[in-house]
Amino acid sequence: MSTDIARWQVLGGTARAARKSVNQDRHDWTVFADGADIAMAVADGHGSAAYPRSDAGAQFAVDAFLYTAAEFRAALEPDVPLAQVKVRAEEYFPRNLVHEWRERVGTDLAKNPLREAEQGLEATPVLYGTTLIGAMITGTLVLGWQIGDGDLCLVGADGQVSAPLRNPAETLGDETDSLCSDGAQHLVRTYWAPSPAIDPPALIALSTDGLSKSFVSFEGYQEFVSGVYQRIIHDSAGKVSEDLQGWLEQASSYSGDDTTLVAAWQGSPVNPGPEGRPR
Amino acid sequence: MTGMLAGGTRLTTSSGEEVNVTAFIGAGGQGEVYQVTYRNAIRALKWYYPASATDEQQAIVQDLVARRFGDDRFLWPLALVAGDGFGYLMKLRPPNFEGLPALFRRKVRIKSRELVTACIHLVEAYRALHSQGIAYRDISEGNVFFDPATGDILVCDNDNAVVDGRQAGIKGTTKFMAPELIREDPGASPSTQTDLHSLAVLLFMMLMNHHPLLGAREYRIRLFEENAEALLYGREPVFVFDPANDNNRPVPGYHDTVLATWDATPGSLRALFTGAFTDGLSKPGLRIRETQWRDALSAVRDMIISCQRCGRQNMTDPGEISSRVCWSCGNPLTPPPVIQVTTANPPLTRVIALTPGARVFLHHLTPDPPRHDFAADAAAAIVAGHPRVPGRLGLKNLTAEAWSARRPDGSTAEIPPGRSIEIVEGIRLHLGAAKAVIRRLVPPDKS
Repeated sequence: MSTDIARWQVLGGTARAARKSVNQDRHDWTVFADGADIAMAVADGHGSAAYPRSDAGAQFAVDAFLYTAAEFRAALEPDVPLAQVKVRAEEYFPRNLVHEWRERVGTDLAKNPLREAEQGLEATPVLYGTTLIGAMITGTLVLGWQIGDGDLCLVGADGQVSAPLRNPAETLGDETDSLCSDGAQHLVRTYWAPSPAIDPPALIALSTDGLSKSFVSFEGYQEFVSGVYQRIIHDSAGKVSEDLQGWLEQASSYSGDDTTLVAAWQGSPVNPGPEGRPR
Repeated sequence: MTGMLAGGTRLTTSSGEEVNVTAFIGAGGQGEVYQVTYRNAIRALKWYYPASATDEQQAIVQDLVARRFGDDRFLWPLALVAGDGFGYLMKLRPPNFEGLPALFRRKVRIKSRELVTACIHLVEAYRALHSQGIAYRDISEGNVFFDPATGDILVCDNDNAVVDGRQAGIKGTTKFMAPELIREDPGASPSTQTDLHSLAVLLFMMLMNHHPLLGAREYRIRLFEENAEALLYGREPVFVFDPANDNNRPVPGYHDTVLATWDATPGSLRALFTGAFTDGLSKPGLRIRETQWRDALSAVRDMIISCQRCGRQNMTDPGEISSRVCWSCGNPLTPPPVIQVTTANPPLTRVIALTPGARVFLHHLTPDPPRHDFAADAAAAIVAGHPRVPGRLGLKNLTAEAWSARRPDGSTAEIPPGRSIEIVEGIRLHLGAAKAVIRRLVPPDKS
């Protein structure tokens, strides 16, 4: 059987900042239906003294995102009107994501009460504070969600690079929205792009702020993302995967922050198959 | 450029005028919005997705265009545009107007006075629409824009509005829909009556930054989806502050915002919200009308006072000001002198805090003003400092007519246009046909 379903391929990596003992970034992805659909996420635990469990919080964020994305995808029956899918993406998804994250945090807090080193802090989700950026491509939809800083970057088939969820205010100072913020679901920014109205990207990249801050300008970061895509096309994904760790470590040395990148790009069309999770 | 229409596409209105597509603005649930040129002016074009471009929708748009509803608070359909599909022209939203989601995400700062002003403008806008016999049918956070600097509002996406009682496709956005519509009760259809429920929800969200029906019952749901919405908003809606049912209270640590904002809200508004989301849920005839909202919101706006310690604005009621503390710093609020204005016919009394810069507006002098106007040129009086004596405040006559005043000692005075009278307790004024008295709500030794 022939099909024109695009196959998505994913790569990712992370580098710990040299001055830090623990990398508080986390990332992961899920590939559905042999690459026809994907979900991917990066999270950046806040790391400072007020958030001593933010590395766990970042892991819970990525896990909660992938769980919520899988549920979202499973409920996408063909007869659901596009307007209702938009409601699900913009309202239900952020709510369910935050709820899932808090569930995981609550379970962890119950198992692991405050330690001696955490005296003076309250046993609340604030201990686990983290940002999150996630993306999902399913059927004719390209979706993105972001709370806090970091970057979601799209490279179009024409080579144009855009960052549709970028909030310049997030780049000012160190304050950022967080999954532990009051009313966090309202702080989630959503990117919604149904095709054919909006062309799907050739590559979608998620990264923690340690990467974009390692560049002198945001344009420099965008050129880097564009370059990653060009190298995937002209060299190979395997070569880029090999080089990625070195790039991230170099970026981390410039920004002084943990640095993480996950990127997905359109490969060759395939027949839809059983769900897989190549890692 | 991306979207259904390419840049440079030429379309025509139903009357044959040319429309040129210049830029893609965004995509929504029913269609896309483009920037276009029309009659040498920049306008917005909503272009429907094929699935939404029904004959019924086209008939609704044609009807709305024919109405020529010129209210400046609405981005009303100006002309039907046809091509391979159809859409309609409207004015472009000015850049100083923000969407309500930005307010709910706390990405736009707005002071209490401008927020309450926006609420007043909103209820008056829907009152104007309803008075035309038109139901909006889809009042929601996505259809209202506001100017944080002034509280001015704009209502867009008016293409679902129809004559009250007419059956048509859209029922609204679930979390704003009246419960009987969600339950699909026999005979229930979108109407001005169901708009009143949606309006109450929207006002609650603007003032409390939270949905009135989302509390502990929502918190217990792991995966929120359509069935959960139908349950919480339709089949078994319970107000989070229902005085007779406490099983849906906000959850501390999860719903902290609404716990704080409800506490900071004056009793008069809390009473209206309680009515809207208890009796009003099941008895449409008991829903709060636009004029009730307008009068309560206007009274609260007149009594917004700044904390003397931290400077944050506080909404108060005249009757409870002596017991209120600042929502931000907890400092007891210091009640300022007030002017009590009573209209002539019928007599209606309003109380306005006389804080520096406060204004008495022309709508204060009218019992049922068609519209509240808070522009500087709509002010009848302003509280201004004495030009030479710091700390002394006077009430300056901004009207074209002289006022007459009687002081507590029995002496009288005339205050010509442009002149002021010192704010002293007990002064009685004639402001045109309205009468006024300056007084203190709390004796000085208790303030």
